[in-house]
Amino acid sequence: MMRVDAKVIRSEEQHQEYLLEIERLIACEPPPGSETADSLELLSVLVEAYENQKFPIEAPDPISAILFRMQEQGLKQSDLAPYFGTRSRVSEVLARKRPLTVNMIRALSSGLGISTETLVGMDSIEVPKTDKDEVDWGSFPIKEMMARGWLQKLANKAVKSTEDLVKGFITNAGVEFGSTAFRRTLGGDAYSPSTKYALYAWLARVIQKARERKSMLGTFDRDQFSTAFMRELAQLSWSDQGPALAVEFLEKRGIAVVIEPHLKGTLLDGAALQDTDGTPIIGLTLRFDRLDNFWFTLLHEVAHLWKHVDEEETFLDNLDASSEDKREVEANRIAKEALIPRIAWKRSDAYLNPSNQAIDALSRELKIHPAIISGRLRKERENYTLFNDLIGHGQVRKHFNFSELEV
Amino acid sequence: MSLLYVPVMGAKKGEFTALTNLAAGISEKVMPVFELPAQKPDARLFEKSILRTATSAGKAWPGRQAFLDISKWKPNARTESGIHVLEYAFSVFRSNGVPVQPVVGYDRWDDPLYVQAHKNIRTSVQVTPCIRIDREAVQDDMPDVEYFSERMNEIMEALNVGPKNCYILLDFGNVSTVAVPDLMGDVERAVGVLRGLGFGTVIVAGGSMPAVVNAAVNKTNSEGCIPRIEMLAWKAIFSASKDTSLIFGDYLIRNPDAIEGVIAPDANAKIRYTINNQYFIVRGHSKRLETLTSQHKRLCATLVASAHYMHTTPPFSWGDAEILNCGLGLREVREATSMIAIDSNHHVSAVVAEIFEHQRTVVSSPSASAGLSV
Repeated sequence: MMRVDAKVIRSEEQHQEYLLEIERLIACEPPPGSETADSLELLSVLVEAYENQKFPIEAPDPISAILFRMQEQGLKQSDLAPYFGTRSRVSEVLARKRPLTVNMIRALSSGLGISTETLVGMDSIEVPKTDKDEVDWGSFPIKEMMARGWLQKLANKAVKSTEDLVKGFITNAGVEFGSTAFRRTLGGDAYSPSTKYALYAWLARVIQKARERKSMLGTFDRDQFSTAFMRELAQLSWSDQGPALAVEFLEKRGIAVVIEPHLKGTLLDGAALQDTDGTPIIGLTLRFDRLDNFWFTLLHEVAHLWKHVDEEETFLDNLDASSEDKREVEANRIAKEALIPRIAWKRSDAYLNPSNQAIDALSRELKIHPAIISGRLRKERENYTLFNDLIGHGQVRKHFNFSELEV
Repeated sequence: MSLLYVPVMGAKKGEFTALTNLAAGISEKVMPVFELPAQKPDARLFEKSILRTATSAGKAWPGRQAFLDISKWKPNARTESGIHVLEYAFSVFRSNGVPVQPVVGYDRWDDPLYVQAHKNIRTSVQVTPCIRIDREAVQDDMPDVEYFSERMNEIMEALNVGPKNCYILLDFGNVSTVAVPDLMGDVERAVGVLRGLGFGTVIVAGGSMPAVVNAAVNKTNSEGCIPRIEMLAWKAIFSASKDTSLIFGDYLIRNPDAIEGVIAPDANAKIRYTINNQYFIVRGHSKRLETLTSQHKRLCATLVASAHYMHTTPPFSWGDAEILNCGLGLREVREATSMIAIDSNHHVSAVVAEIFEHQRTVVSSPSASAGLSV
């Protein structure tokens, strides 16, 4: 007999009764669209609704699954570091402060045998979105800018608020705005939305200081850039006065070089840009007081000036980070080749069998400071304990009265 | 031959013994990269020692395909007769019955003598070269596809081969401190670029064994496991792509950056036993305090008694049989080189089995890759 009075299921008894009826109807193999088929569909919907309410299947929690697997296999948090990157990242993920990335999920799935479906179940943590077109003058690091004396000159003028003060500082430097957006495009690895304002402030200060140096600059000619130019610059490292000579070398050729420590929170090594009148500028933070870092950063920024910088493009570089931007890759390549040409590197004992003597020999052959060779070895081998005494700690800032610049 | 595994190995005694004792079913799935051992800095005569290496290779790997690289040498190195080392080694390996294919160092291609040696080899024999691209090039050159492809074309033009007629070895070197997801990202981006340029077989290699045993197991006379990052990354990538032309490679049980010829009077007795996704390290203590022979016996017994030893009948590999016999006192393992042979033999057998099993599981279970193709 066919049921036409099917109702929402309220009891287990009714549930069992409907299940039997479904079984019976299926056995009849009702043709689609028939009354029997409709009844079957209705009963199925009612049963499903009841079962979902009575026996809900909770979405599996990926973190619990990972914790369970850790317990089962006797794993410590440090054992998971290969899947996440660092120990602190492991604890952040397990504390649900950081989402799992797709590659972490895939690695965990292969390594720990937890299904990807389970791992994907995690709610992603929303990254707050900011409207990049909006300029929030209050977000500049005003205190730090004040402390460094950047805003003093303007402080005497009649300004309505600190925000106006900042606005004046930034726009005076020529970091202009379109209708709503910063006019300049910032490239490079140092840029991040959270430090955007600190970076613009630093940049404005660099432009301001570069303008003060303009009368001392030689004439700039873009065509002067060449592999030989880069090589000549790199070989200034041979001298004890290398960093100072390099600045002199560049300024004679019309390139302003400004040393300005980075603002808090910004991982900035250097910048390459062009002022509104076309003057090329290099800004350096000397974040690390080490010769290897100085020379690589300087050459990298000069390479940007040679190949990429124009009125619209400014590069802000954090050279610790690896980059996939084609222009960053190219600047790295030019800098590397100018410092240690690939062919000389692969032939050298410094590469094949590193030792103090081998580094010294290559340094003489290429007429570059041994710090550059040691720095290359440390980076290539990802071992920053190697040749620590050779990389020129404390040999850069001293050339630039850095203590006066520091906050 | 269905190639499953490319071990990057020193062409040395321990490694050759490991190869000699592989089961035939394993050997046919393996194509090693032989790295010609470096010479002492003051050495002036090279030909005799290269010939000795080639003769040993001929006994250990007769008639089987392999790659030959001189990565431990200067790219312009020549023998005492003035022949380029690669040309000389290539010729004596072949005359000793190992049909080697030359490895081309992408990063060494700027060297005119190196280029000329490859051209000379190519003129005399039809070869299928393997272009070896290191991590530096993957990270620094590949993102600039135009520049990278120009260099690759230069190499292929000089060797008169197309992308389908050469192998690519993506060599990530020491990955012991790299996170699996980061390695996966690098590999997948690189493979994407290479496939875009028309390359077929791509070998991805890396090594997770730290340079010193302390970094693996920090106490003497104890045991511990360390992850094999390269295997975890390859498995995860294969699960998504099911791409059988992406071949797994590694550095066996050694650290990729290990400097050769260093005399270590305090070397510790140790067994590096490869297990699923990891190495199980059984560590002894300095050989100055107790002979390696007696330490090896104890370490083998410890390994056999552990949950990690593969108890099968017959033994899983020649290396496993040696470990069993050594632990029982039926055989003496006196030197580190003999233990390297044992560990390496077990490693190659275990890796081929591990890859085979992973491929089988992934390919036979369509749901295994659900949601992975992102």
